[in-house]
Amino acid sequence: MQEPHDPSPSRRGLLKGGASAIAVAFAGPIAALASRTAEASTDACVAAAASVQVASPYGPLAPVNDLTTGLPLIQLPAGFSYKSYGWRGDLMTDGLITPGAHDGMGVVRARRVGRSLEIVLVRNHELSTSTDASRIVGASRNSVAKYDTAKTGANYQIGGNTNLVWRDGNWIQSYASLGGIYRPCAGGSTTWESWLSNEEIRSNAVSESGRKHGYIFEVPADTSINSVNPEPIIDMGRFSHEASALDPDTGYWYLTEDQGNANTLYRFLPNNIEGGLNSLHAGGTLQGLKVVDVMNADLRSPTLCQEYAVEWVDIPNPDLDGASIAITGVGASVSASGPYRQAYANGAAIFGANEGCWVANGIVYFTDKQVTSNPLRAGRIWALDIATNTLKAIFVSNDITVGNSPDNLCVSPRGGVLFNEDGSGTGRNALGEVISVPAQRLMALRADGKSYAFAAHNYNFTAAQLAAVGKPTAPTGNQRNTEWAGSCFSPDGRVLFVNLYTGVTLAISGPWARGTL
Amino acid sequence: MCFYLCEITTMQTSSVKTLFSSAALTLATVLAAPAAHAVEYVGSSFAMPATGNSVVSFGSGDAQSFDINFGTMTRVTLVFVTFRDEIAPTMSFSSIINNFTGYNFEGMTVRLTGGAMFQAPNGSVTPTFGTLASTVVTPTQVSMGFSSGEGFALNFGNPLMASGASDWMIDFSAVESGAAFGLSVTAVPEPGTYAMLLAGLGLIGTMVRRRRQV
Repeated sequence: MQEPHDPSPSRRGLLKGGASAIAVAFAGPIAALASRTAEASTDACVAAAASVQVASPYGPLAPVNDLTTGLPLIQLPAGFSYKSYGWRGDLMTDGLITPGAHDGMGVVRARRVGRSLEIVLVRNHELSTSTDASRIVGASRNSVAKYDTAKTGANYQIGGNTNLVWRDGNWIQSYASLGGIYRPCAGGSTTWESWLSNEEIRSNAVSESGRKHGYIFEVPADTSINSVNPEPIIDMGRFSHEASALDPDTGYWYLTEDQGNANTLYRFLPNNIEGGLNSLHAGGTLQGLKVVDVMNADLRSPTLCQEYAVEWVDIPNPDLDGASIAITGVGASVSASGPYRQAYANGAAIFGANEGCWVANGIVYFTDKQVTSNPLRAGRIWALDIATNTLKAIFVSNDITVGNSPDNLCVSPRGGVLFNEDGSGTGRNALGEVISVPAQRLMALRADGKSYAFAAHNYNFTAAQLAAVGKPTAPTGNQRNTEWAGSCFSPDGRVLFVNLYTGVTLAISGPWARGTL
Repeated sequence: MCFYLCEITTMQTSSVKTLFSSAALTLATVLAAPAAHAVEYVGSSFAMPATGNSVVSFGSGDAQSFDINFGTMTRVTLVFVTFRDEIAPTMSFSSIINNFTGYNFEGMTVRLTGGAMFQAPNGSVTPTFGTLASTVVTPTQVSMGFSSGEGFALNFGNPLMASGASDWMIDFSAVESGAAFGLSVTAVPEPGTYAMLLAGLGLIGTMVRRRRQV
């Protein structure tokens, strides 16, 4: 077991460099938000068997027309409005077509350009494979970095990234930045103006060019100035990655894995602790979370506010092949990644299917999106206090109306937790009854462990409706039960950026201070 | 202590200097050498409470442009002094009016005091997320109402040089040379936030009374 060491003041300053630059760009509002951020804590959790849903402080939801297309894409509380951009099929600034499967997304740069306030986001396109090489993100532009353009078996890996520019409250630009990777799902922002694009696959297969998949890649904010390093960050592990979140106080990264019943929370201690573009490629130590004094604790069914003292176990070979292993309480032959095999052998805990991850104010928040009918599970959210190594279940849903498979999550600059539903339209309520829900939602989590709906999906259009607003290739029909993804706030807290996985990016603004977000 | 700044009327430079000595005013330009243009921005003041409110000047002389940042939805007043001898007594005006309050602007009033007046043609008003329902212009006031509130920013005039937008023109020929005039921007909050504002004012009043008693 390796304990964290105290980072030097100079390194802390460097790691927070990006955050400091953001604070300069938004000096007034950041100061104004400070008091709300201090509310972010897990102390207010009220113990119960499970979470319940309460009325939203923002008020009831109703369809709201998009300021860009006029279509009612989503439902929001009164006073909120939004602008869509970067639809699947739209022509991007670089002349390429916007890929689909909009997933994880993050703000990687916030700065002043002259008088303007500019924000750059990097967006994941969770595309898997195709027999058609032209479908690789950025295929028709040579300057787009690609990791692997060869076949694995019969297929190419076609996932990748696009960068988006937002300036003075309006969408300005988008272009392809990375291609040739497999299903980048959640991802995470660095504090040095780049994005980690994480492949979601546990596979031992090797492509015709000798490439393996299941790695993390780094995408800079401006690829015309800093080209993408197409080599993976191997020491961050080869597994079915979801999110990666940096704690700027220590320089450590927290990683999630979506490998059903065979995953834990991971921690990565970089060798180059100074941070900076390509610094993570210098390697580091990967570790897995373990409950103190308990080998392989099963954490899939906690009660609300349940706590565990945790520690970290080393994973010697982050690039080890996956295999089936016996997992106590799960099964005799469970598919596990190489890193989890080693972590499990050292006593690492068992989660259902970890997904979103976010660090704020010394707390690592992460979701377990697993949904099962027996026992009842519809999603959990955990909070790890970095200073005390205490893990607490701050949201426990056993009812899809309370929270339906929480996927990506973020913490607003005011300290409010927001999670993105990615569940089925049919599931079970707290009584175990099979029920249907009309739409996936953006849910807010209160400090006491109760949830409320902030927004709901409302995409249900005919081909004629979409063609009339210049979106002839957009998906048609009822998409309301497809997932939300990639939620993240502007540093000044005025705008929520979020994706409809269907293939639309939204910027939402309104009276945030009415509620917890 | 003045919680709400009294309306700025025509005043001599000496009066403006006196105002700068109060904590509520920030000096932006030193009133020293004679200007080569007709008007100078000399500072701003904030009606209280003003947490998070700030003003940043990007213009000069006869082309005045500002970022006016509201962290609290009250009133910000910009003060200008004229030096209009033999120079046309007009200036263009634009502003990005940022909303960092966490609540929507339900309306906005821009008011001239001290003898200055808006000059035709009217300039642009461009919300970012809100929907403008009405704009009523009189010689000394522009009143804007939103049917859907503005939670991000409002461009008054053309601060970002957008095509099709134009600045507001202000005529200060009625202002004595060497005198000051004011431009006040008042953000109108959502109805529910008035109670919070009044509660904040009450708290400040209580604190001041306690200090006086001590």
